[in-house]
Amino acid sequence: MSFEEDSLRNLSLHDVDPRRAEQIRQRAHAVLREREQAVCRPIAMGWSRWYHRLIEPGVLIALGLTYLVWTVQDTVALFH
Amino acid sequence: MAEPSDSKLVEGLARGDTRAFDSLYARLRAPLYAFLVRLSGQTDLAQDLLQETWLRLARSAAQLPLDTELRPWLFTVARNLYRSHRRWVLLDGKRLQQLGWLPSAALPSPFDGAAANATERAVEAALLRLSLEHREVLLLCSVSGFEPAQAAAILGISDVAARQRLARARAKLRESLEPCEEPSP
Repeated sequence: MSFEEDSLRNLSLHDVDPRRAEQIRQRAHAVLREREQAVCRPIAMGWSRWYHRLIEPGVLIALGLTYLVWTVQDTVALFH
Repeated sequence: MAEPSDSKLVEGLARGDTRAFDSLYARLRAPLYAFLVRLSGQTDLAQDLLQETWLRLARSAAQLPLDTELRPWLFTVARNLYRSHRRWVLLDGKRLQQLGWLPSAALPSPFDGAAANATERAVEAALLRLSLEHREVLLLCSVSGFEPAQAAAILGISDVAARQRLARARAKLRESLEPCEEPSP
């Protein structure tokens, strides 16, 4: 191996200031956490939409029908 | 413990897994920083570009294909960020000195204070005297340990062009180092 190639391979490896390194790490974590929340949000929104559009009206309709059937039955029973 | 594969790390990063990020950050922070300092010749700028490189990774993690090789990807982003910065400085005529257009001997290497010996100091200074094209190919192949083909991909040139550029860069560095070369026994 030539002298210059050898010298290049043996150059010291210097690292960034630890405080700055931690700052960069924290910022990247914040970006990643934002992404994680963005991934979870549609699932949560899906459940909410499902509840409000299907379960809630379904329960209300079922309760309304039960009440209607009950009043009709009681009214008919009253006249018999 | 074996380091996780790049595909596992990409998968983890896409999910927003901070442990995947930390593993990669611990492994590549120092080599990437050293590359940026030697490329730019300025520690402050290198720190800013280092931060932007890692933030780019965090932001674009979800779009990365699973077969992405993260080390070359990070070096490509770092190098392109430096190139963009250089272009921006070029447009701002007041900052010619940062471009290295003044005699580069006037600019001490940021590693001068920490260099292990006189030879290392001479090599650092000689690197800064090289043109950007020669410096970056030497930093990628001889310092960071990339194969010429990988360096070609990072630099956006053909494999043959990268090998030729590397040979020329080595010759230039040799010329620059000749006065301080140690005599062989």
